[in-house]
Amino acid sequence: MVPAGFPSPADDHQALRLDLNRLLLPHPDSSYLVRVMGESMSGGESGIRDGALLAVDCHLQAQHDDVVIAVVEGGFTVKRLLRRGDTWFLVPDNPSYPEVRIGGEFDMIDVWGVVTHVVTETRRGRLATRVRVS
Amino acid sequence: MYALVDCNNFYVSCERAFQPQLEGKPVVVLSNNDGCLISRSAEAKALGLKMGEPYFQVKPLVQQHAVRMFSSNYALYGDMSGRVMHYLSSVVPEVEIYSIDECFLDLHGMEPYLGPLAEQAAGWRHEVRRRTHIPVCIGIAPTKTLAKLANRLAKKSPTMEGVCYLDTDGRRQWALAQTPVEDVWGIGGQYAHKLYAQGIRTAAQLAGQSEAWARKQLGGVVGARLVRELQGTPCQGLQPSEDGTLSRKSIACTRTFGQPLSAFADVLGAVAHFASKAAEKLRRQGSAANVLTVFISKNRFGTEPPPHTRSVVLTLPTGTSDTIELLRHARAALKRIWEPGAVYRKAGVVLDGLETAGQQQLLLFEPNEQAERRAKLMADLDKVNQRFGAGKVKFATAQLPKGEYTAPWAGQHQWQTPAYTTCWEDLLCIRA
Repeated sequence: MVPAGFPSPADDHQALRLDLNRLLLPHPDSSYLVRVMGESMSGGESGIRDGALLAVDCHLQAQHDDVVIAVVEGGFTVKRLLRRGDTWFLVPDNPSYPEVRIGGEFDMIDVWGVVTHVVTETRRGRLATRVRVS
Repeated sequence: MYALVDCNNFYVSCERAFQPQLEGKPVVVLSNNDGCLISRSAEAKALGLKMGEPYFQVKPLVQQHAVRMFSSNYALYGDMSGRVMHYLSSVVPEVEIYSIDECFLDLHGMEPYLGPLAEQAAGWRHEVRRRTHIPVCIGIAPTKTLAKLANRLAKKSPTMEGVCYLDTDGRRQWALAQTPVEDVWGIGGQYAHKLYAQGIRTAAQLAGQSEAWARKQLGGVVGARLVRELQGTPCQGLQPSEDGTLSRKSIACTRTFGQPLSAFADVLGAVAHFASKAAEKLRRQGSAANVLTVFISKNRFGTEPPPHTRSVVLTLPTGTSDTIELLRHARAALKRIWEPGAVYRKAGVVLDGLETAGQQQLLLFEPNEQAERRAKLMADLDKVNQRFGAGKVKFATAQLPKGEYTAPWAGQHQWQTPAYTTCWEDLLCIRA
């Protein structure tokens, strides 16, 4: 059989399609996706709105000014980790919510992971329809 | 040197990774269909809850101490296991995934590159905890049997901080003396009984026996190897799997039904579903099975006298991973053990005698062309199900009765947590 037509001039330049996983979930063992419920981080620099999807990396060492998933009194919360002088705080981006003082000793066990990316929808789409109601 | 990395109370730890409020509380995970205890936190063990105890027997104790209970969530456990194994495969060149929660690392000649092994192990332990929030213990020793033994000691004594390294002969002797003989890897209840009768109670006493004695008393060459491994001479190497997952020597798919079943069609549906699942696993690891076992069980706590389980073992005419072929044999097998009128609680399909697919002896009378077409059909079936979701395309025998949404044999999972890491709807929700 003789193939008809002309060969594509792009054939020699085939590249792999961009893969968002490589950006959002770079470490298969320590990258997680979580959903946000609540307004305490909205309106601020992080852009974390109610319902946002967050990419979290748990192998990163949390630093000053990171947005982190922290464990406070046995429950998860997402806040900005700030150091003022010798004291660490979990601070909401939304000023109408209270901040939490962690104390002088910064215990790493309290940080579950560091938020690396925020995904929100500008138009109601698949993300909005895939929220667990519990 | 070999290391054995073992996750502590793995299923409980997976639940805790996504529910930090469970830390420090007694927690148990129940087997499929909420039958028996299969994982217990240290706090639950301290209450006297035993591995494998049926839930209904421990219910009063569980309620009295407000023990948190979970149905097994294998989607979650599988993903978390994959994360642990992925990290460990990145730190050493060769790993053998031994089960869902443990794996061997080959550390031969690695010390010059890695540095002191005990320090390395402490680092791995810390990293696994950070990446997956799963606590692990690590045993390091010259043989796999000793690594297993070291791991047990690391778990037992908190002062070791999760790492036990048997680097010198003195430490090996110490570890052997600490270990009851029934806790040695490969010594089952039967042998333990026999050894006790001969006055052998510790691993140290067992290691002091001669090879000839072991050959005679412990089942030939296997026993001789076991004793040599305890003495510090490696007799078994790593069996790494090629695709980074556990390569199984047999594949079983068994389940307790959500409700008792007595109709042949219902039980056949369950058996067909299990056979399809097992065949899919078989193809995923590139194997073909030569032996098919089908069993069905009645209520083992009921009033009827034993036997509660009937099984049939079929040797297949040729090694196969073809669902059509396996279903045909499974149906024939089920017919042979079926008792009309009986009420069944559980069924299972086990595939044994696995070999690498494509290496099996061909039948004289089977046209080869058809086999190729069928292999292609199976590959396409797997692709479709991978892309559009498990079980999207299945065989009619495994199909649900018309108008029903859940299979009559489907299990109950009253206390199951969401599949946090593998399902969009189930993602962990975090309060902001």
